[in-house]
Amino acid sequence: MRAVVTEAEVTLADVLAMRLAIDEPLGDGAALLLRHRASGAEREVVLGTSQAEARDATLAVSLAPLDLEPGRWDAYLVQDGRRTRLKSVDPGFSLDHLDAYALARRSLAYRAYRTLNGYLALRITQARPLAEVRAVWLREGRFEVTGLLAYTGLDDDDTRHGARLALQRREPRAELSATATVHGVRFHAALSLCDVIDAAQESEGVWEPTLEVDGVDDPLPLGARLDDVDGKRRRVHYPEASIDGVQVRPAFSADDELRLEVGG
Amino acid sequence: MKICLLVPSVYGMRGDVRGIVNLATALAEQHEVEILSVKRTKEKPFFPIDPRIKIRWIADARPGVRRFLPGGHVRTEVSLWRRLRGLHADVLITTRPSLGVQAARHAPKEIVRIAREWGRPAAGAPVKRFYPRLDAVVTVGRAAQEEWTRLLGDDGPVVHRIVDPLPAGPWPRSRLDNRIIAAGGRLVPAKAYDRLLRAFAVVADKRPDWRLRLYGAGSEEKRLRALVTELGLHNHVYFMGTTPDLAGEFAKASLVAVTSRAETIGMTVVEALGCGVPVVGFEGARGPREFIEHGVNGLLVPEGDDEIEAFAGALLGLMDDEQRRRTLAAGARRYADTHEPGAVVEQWVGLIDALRSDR
Repeated sequence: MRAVVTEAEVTLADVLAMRLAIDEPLGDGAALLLRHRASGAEREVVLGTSQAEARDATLAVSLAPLDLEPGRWDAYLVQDGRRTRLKSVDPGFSLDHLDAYALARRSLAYRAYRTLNGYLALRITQARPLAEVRAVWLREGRFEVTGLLAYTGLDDDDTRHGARLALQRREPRAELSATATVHGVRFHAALSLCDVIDAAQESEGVWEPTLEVDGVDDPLPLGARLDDVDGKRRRVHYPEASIDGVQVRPAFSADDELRLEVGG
Repeated sequence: MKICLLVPSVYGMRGDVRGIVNLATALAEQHEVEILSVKRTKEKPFFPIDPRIKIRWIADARPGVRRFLPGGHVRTEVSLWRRLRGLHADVLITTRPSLGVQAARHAPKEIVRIAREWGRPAAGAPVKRFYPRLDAVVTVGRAAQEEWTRLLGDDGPVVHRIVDPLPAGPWPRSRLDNRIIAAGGRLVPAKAYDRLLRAFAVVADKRPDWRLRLYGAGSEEKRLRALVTELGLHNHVYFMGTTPDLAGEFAKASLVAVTSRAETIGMTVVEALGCGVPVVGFEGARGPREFIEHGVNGLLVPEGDDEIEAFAGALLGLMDDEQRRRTLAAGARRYADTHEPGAVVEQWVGLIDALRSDR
């Protein structure tokens, strides 16, 4: 049986909504099977039958009750005891939808995607609250960053929230902070680079920025995870600035969190 | 039928390699197919190879590999002659003028010998002297077909035109809803990505929520990254690196831009059209106009003094007009149907059968 996914997306309610192009109708007992790529764990969901003449089928599978662990899950269609890995022509997400999806407070984030070989898969990650970085500048002697808050549960409106941008350096230990602006889920923060250089005697080191927002329990790490692009350290290069002969460079870490690299 | 495709290297990431791998895969549905790579530069080819295709190589040029004899051009050429003289196949398809000359000189006459050409003809004397011994020349584009016909004249073999096939479907399909412009290909001067970055600087100033994703790697990367910094585009331009699934990445974009000065191969353009993404390119004599029909599946911008502003204007026009993007996307998918592998293989097999029956 030939079945190709023409549309697939995880809705805001964590339902995998799919449209399948099929060359024969789905029979009794047809099921969607999800298989964890690393552990081999499987979950099967029985689908309804489609009309005898149907050439496409619309399916909705609620993911939360399946107790799926984080990782990548490949999708198969099971029909008459045979399993067929589901080909997909749809990218599985749109970036605007991912932003909307991240407005709610969640423990797990589900995303459908098309694999390199053209199959449907699900990617499940821990959804920790995050300050998603959209733009970074080093200008007029300041480090500036804007973006939006993800998985905090705050509403996307014009409500102002008190906030501070904090920079911490682990080794040798140092920290400083500055007032930030948060409107709804959009944030803007700026910090004088001279303050960063003056904050500690030894100027070299890596600073980790966090955003502390009133009404949100923990400080939010600054990162870039609400898209399909992993490995931003390699793919996005921010310009450097030189303050009193000390180089300052914003860069992403290996796990896509923003860092301010000073000296070196 | 046993078909041998002779390539300089099947291991690299180039449009012509992609075209040959796609053709070999499509032919392998019904025929025995072998790719003979003059050099082996890596452990595995960049593009995935169908297990039905046999890969052989002549010179092992992988870094760190011990050789019993000193490497070098002459030794490789002698090995190639020997391999061609002892070749057992029904059809030999070469993919570079230099290899076509060697096939004409050394491959057994019983084998149908065809030269596959993407670019303009090499005007060298060996081509004029030895190509008449070949059974046919097959170009990708019309301009190349005319130029090769002119060069070879009445003495030469007939020059045919068959397009490169796309991989077997289903092809990924763009929703056209991400504010992403994509561009793909090696980061080399001929692709003129500096023109794209300068045009995108105009675009990003007016529509700051759009992003540009560059796929590929090459000698220009450092210079292009410096230009991104100079133009203040560091928040907008992503250097995505290489991918074996360029079509899948293009399907995440709403537009594909091609600023190349000589897009003779055009596999990236065809892959973009196959995903239903409109392509914006330059109209120049050797640009992507073989593939793009202005206003039908993309837009062509005239080259000249105001080319950067004109290119940015074309991008902005499509970014702001979703209905037009969708109309062009439909045209793109219609055009891509002519690159459907079954249809392309039918043309190749028809040509080979005709050449064999003429003998």
